[in-house]
Amino acid sequence: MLGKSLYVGETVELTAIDTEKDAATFSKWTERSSFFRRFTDGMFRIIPEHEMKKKLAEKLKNAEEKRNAYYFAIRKKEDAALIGFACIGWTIPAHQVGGIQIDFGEESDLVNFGDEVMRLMLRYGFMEAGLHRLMTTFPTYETEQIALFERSGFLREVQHREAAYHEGRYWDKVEYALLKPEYKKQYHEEAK
Amino acid sequence: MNESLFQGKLVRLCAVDKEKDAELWAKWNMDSDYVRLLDIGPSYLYPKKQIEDWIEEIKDNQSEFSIRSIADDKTIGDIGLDDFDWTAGNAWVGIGIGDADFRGKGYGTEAMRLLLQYAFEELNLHRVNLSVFEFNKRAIRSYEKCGFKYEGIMREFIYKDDKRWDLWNMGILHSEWQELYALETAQTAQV
Repeated sequence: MLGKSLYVGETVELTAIDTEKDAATFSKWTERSSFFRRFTDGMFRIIPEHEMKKKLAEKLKNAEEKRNAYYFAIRKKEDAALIGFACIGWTIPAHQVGGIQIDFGEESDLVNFGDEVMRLMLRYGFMEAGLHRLMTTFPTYETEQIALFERSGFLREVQHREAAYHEGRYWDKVEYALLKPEYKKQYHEEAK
Repeated sequence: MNESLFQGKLVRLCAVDKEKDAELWAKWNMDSDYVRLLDIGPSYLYPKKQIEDWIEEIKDNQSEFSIRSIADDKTIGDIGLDDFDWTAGNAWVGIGIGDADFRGKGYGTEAMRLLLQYAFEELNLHRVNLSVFEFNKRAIRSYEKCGFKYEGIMREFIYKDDKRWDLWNMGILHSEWQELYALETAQTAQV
């Protein structure tokens, strides 16, 4: 159990969010509706930096009080550049279930670092946060995200027909989940 | 045109009564089987004051109704829409028939139909979702009757009695509701 960091990967690491310093980058990411919709509720719009500072602070405070969510800033090890956001959230402790989100500012970072971050986040969710089931949902146009979760072992469980609206038309929304026994089988080296 | 959107044959949907309904809900909560079929969280006996506070917090981002039986003007349950996504025209519905005498007799099914009519014809929603525990067979039958279609199964979502249970997801589109409604109206006209 000990001797292997939960946070440090080969090229990236999970770090704490710095509300003041990171807000500008998070604000930039809300230009994409997909990030916005996973990050917060309400009508899609760009969240300005001053508001993002408040939102981040509020999220972190809520998580601390309720102990139901864990937020991370993904940074490159070489220069500490903030490249993404990851979280285990919306947990229901009574059922040992929770949501997982991994988002990158650039799609190329998703391709390059997605698997590494996934490995860290799954270990955190199953082996540290004590969850049995991790789940996530995407509109079907988010093909890179879906590919990452599918190759990580997540199964498509639900297809909400026409539940998303984007680029002038409806899209299905799909729900994915991975259960702890499946995780332990696929990531048996990690899960020791 | 419908005289009253919220009026059916067996039930009508009306505003929640903060004090009276809180008292009823507190009473229904004593029926632990009821709450185990209804709520995702652990069943719990919330004090009446807490339920009143919850009712008071319902604002215009939620739509909550009491279900009243028409014959004896009695509050028998509640139904509501929540988690609105106005961009996609999507919301989640929840329903409970707290009064055991009114279960399995079509009261809930009619309340759901009234709610769908409101959701589609007035709010212009594109679809309505619900999730239901796999062990709630009576509710599943009712949702099927209302036109909800299966959209998937969330495996092992629920942990109760030291077992894991699935959470079923169902949904109905505006267009599906219109077809059903047209069919029923035509059948009624033939009779």
